[in-house]
Amino acid sequence: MIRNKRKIFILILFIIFLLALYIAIFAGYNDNGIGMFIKTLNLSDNDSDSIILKLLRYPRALKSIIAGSCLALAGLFMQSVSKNPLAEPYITGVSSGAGLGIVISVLYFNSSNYSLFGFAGALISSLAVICFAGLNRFSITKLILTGLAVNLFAGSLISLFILTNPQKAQSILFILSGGFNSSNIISDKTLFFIFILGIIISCYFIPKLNFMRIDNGILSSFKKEKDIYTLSAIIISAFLTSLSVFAAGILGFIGIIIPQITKMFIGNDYRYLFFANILAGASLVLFSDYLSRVLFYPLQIPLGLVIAITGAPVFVFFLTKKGDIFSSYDRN
Amino acid sequence: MIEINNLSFSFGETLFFNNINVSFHKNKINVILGQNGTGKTTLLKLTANLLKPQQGSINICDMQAFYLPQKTSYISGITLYEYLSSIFFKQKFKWILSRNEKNQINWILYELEIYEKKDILTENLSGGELQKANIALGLLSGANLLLLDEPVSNLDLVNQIKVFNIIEKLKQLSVTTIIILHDLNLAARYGDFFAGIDKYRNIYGSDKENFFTPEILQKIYNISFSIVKNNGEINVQISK
Amino acid sequence: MFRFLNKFLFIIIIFTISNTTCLADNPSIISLSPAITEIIYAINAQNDLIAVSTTCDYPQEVKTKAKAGDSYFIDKEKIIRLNPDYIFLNESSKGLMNEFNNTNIKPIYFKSNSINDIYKNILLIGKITNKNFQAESLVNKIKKELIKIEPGDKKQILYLVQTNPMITIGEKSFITDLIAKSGNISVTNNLKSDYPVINPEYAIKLKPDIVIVNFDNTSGNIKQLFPNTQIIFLKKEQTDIINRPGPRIYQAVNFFLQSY
Repeated sequence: MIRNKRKIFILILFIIFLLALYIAIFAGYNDNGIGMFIKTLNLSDNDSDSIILKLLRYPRALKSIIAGSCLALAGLFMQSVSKNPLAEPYITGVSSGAGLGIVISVLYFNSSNYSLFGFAGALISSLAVICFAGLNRFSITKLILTGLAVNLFAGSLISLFILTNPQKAQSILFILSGGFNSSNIISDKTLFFIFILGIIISCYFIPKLNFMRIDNGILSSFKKEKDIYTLSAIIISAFLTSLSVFAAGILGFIGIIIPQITKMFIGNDYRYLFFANILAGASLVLFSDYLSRVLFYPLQIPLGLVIAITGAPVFVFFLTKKGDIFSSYDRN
Repeated sequence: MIEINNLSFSFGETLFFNNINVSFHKNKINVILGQNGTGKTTLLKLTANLLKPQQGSINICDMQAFYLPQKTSYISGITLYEYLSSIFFKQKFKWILSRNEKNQINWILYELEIYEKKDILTENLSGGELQKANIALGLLSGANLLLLDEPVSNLDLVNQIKVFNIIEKLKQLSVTTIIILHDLNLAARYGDFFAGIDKYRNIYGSDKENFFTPEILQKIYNISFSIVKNNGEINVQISK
Repeated sequence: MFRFLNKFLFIIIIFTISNTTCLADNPSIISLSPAITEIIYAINAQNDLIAVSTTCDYPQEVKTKAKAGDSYFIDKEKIIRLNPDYIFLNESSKGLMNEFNNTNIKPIYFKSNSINDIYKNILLIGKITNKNFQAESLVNKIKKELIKIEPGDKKQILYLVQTNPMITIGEKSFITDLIAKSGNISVTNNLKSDYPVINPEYAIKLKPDIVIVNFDNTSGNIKQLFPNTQIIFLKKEQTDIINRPGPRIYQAVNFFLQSY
């Protein structure tokens, strides 16, 4: 019974995802939907509609999907192994590491390839945090606290860089609020393959979360497996988060709300949650990107802001409706 | 036989167990008794290899241990059946359960008399059913040495008996159990072999006949007991 | 009622006297805006200037002046130690000066949303530094230079302050005014704010004839976004001339006229 419910939920999410994808690509201010696509098939490459589709909409949709699903999956991994519903993918110092990479790139390499620096910064900082937490016996609490310290440290460095380089402050702040880079350093194809690689690796480790959902005390009998799976989940999470930074900058919130909302409907079978998170995360970012384009057209607002503005009310709504699931965290 | 020889263990600087010797019997219900703070849980964890002794050896004869802590949390949003299936996802390359594994889960559910609850969500199960589910997890993991830390302390009398009937049944499945208990009568009724720890952390291990004597119980608990034997059943009473 | 009026008048008199005494001798000034610094040099009032911002770099001599921060970060201790009579700032730096409310240091904010604003700024600076004549002649000079310019044929110009995110100029930017003065049209002149962040799709749909990009931006995919369009990447000096609402704006207008 519950399994049928899950399948229906995932089906609904899939429909929502297709809808969001359609909106993100073919809907906009003054657009005529799929007709725009059909029209561009007959037109030359230099027509403005075709440029908008090929150079802006398609890459943005791809990056939205990557950012949304990676963040949701990363959040799922982190919350599962830490058994803490508040753990978010950025907790291992990813966000500030990414931010620092971006700021350094914008300031000193004068480059539009800041997303590559963000990716590198995210990966380096999270691996550093994991290593620090691993010294003298690894523990999740230590990981979270170390991540917190690194986030604070790097966050202050970011502020320092911004304050001492005021002429670039506006663009840095805009980039840090999340958005898409038009850089061509890594082609969209390559990015897509890296994303698929990440998904395949997640595929391997996702069912392990079904094992990790058992009480930690009981799991201590299977210490070897527990430690390996915890560590690999954290590393995958850091990798996925870094990838999302590469695609769309730093987007808060998704990594917490999408896993929570999907859990309210699906329960704790991580194999179903895997698909649900990919679909829901991608849909939320696709839809938010659409809003960021049309809400104040022709002005553009940072994607991260739109996600928080649309996501927060939805999240609170579901919390009040189905929030009883969280009682499980308080139960012994 | 599970042999613990010349074992010394200390938490940091303070010596906790000093050169203790005890052995537990295979395919039997072994009960550890003692007051709070005498190190029953520590002994269990040492046996489960969750703590490393500074000296001495623990030989569990290549049995696979499963330690069930006194307090456990349960993940919600999944059925009992799915809760039991969790243990199989420990393996590499696992996305769906094989037919054999499904059969194992159904068989265990049936054996532990919770088969009809298999589609109930964990948050709607009773404490006794959840405790049975945890024991089932241990059995499904392939363990044949169950280390249970006060498995019935949160349960009512009926559920205590139910859980113990299951534990007794495990003997036929050649599963060895070591249980920490506080209820002496329950221990006397179901246990086969007993190890008592007194407050100086000396261990008295013996079979039922020799263990339930007022002298040994007095050493362990520091109060006097009287033993009533009735058709081979042992009843422990606190003397006035 | 009468007593109140009396008091009021008294305060006004004191105020004007204190102001005029202030104006009587040469005031000391800190300028935290490169454009304002350029104006001060252009009306030959640089001797009143005791410190400038780190971004002030024109004319060459300004580099010898002391530095007191920039338009976002202000070295407040240094300013108090220098104890100027005035601090000149851009309007956008309002709020940075709250701590100076109760001091003798008077912040003056300059609004530069149009060419007329720039004239007003020059005259105000002239008044404060007792260089009224020089200020007026500077304004006249600029006006003369601008009249000399014959408007070209109306080209649609997309001016990008930044490419990523795409920041352009709106109706409140004086650059829009400069482009209009050159006979061309800024395609984004209907946008309300001064430097709006826009959706690239909008820019493409406007189909500009020329895209002008400020210095310090890498090309990104601008060339692909505007395939059959002339794209000009400005040099550092050109960017400074265009982006500073100062005495060199007629050169900027000339640039927009001759750039194609």
